[in-house]
Amino acid sequence: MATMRIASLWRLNGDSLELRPDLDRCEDPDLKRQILAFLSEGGFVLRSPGLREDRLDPSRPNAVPLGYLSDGEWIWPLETSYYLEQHDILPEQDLLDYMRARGYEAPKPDPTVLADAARLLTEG
Amino acid sequence: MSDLGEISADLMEVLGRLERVLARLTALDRNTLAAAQAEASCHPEGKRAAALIARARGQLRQASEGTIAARRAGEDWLSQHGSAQGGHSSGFDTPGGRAYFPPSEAKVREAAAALPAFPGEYTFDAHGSSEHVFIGEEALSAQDVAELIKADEKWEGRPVRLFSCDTGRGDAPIAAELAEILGVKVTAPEGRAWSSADGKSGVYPVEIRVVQGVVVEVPNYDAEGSWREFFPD
Repeated sequence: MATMRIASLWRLNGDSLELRPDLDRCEDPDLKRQILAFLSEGGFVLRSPGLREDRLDPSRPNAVPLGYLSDGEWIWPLETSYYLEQHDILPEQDLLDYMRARGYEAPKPDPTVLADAARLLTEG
Repeated sequence: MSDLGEISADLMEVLGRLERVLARLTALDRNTLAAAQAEASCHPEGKRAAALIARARGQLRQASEGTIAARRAGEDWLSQHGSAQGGHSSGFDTPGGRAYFPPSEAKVREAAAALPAFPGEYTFDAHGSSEHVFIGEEALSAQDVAELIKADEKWEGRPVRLFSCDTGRGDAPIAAELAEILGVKVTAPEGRAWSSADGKSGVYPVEIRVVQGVVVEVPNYDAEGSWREFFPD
């Protein structure tokens, strides 16, 4: 199995999750659009057909999608787009650098690569 | 759903009428107003009338541009939220039935299109909770879901599989009401439904894991949740 990087917005604090403190906010609408374009591409790894509460705004109980996409090199949660769109939270710096180097385009990987990504997340 | 259909239909009707009125005004403008304006401006007392006609023509142009903008806005809105024509524009055929995710969730749509059929059943695939099914920002009731299923000729009265999280959870979930309305067995998740690129699908609780030092939220395949069956009385 090829090594893939996994992106996440959260870190563990005891048993609960909290927003990673190293994530920056996006203040550039053009950059935001480019990142959202990348994040909506790739191929699907896992999905769950239900919406969850916004962890940063509990007044939105059915808002955030659950699942993962991948371009074969990185695996990122569907919620990455949501939190960027709604709260301007940028993905981690390594993923930002990676997207920029690829012109904000994410190819759709081979199905076997996506299946590997699914196994990495659930068994790795 | 029915509100959405009415709004879409009203919007299209109003825009259609406005366009017809503007077409008539434009014809009037070309054939009559220009000549009247030229004639009126020759007489001192007609100058005011000529100015009024010029103002009317300016407003006509603005109204015409406004109609085009309104139609574009209407089309954008419909492409995101649905259409007045039968069913729902976010709906699309899947191997087992039909799924409902807006175009903005392109990859989720691809995933839904890959979900295999449940033998002998009609699969309805959309974001769910114990009380509602969600399409974009719309919250659908059991009655709304029933209408969508009845409108699909591929249903053929078969038992229904709700591939929608939590739609079978609790004392009076949406799946129970749907079984009553449709008069068939409805099978729905008591928790989170999942489908995966490695071919697995089913009902499993969310598990927080740490993989490569990174927090992930994924199905726990060791703790299978359950599908629950609901029958009409």
